[in-house]
Amino acid sequence: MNDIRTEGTSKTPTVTATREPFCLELSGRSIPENSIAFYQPVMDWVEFQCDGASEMLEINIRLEYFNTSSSKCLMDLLKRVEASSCPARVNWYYEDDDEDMLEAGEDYDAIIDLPFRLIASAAS
Amino acid sequence: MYGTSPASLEITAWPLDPIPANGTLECQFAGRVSEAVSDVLVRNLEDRVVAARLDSLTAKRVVRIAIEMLQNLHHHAPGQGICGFRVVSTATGWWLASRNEVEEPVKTELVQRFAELKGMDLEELRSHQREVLNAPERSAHGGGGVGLIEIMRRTERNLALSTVPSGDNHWIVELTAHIAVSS
Repeated sequence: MNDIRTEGTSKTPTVTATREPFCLELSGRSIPENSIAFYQPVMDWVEFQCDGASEMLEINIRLEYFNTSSSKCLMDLLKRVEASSCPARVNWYYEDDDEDMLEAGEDYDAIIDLPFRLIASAAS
Repeated sequence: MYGTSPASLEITAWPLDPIPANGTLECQFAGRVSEAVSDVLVRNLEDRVVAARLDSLTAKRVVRIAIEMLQNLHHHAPGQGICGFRVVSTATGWWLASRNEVEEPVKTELVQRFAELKGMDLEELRSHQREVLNAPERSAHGGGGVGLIEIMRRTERNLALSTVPSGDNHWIVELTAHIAVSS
């Protein structure tokens, strides 16, 4: 399966999913009307690449806004990684004054059984 | 911003909501909501919060709540459904209100769900949101009911729901969120 390199828009995140390096990154905003359709190719990529993989998948999430429909998709995505045999680590980036995004990261961390790093960055 | 305004949703007639009359109208729409309309409203609001020099977190909360409200309108009053959305600011806070028409069973379910959430404190809301997020169920639109919890949390429970009959087993529901501005 090919790598994914999708430029973000005002409603959808930039998505980068590559085998070398083994990395999945979402950045920007995720407020598509149809989040299930938007995230399906990413789900497929995870399913294909993670099953049987022994390398560490680095997952970087740097979202400014995401709607609750996307939050469900994000949960499904992380659960799919969790259910695979692939070792993975989640880096959840948030602006240091954004307690909402920090709490969202904490919530995923509490649910998903993957190593989770909450990383503060200076507010822009 | 003004859209079409049918009589049942006149943009000048918001009799139930608690928004102060002396506030500054930041953004307003009445008509048929679409993806393009939501996009323009969010962009407009992003400009307004910058112009108002809100602190970063308050500005983000205003936009986040608007995104959820508009998503809700898009999902629950699609196509020919008429909606209203407006944002008003005062020195002490920002008010966001949305309205749409629903059938009686939907209104009953919404009122019951709202009362359940309103009865929870912030920790209970957070815990409940985790449960819903973790549950396999989804709505037809992919959310599964997280949106109202999210708005309740981000407004710190400063959320009101009003309903008014619009005839023929239909009701207009108004959701009004208040975000306090830190001094």
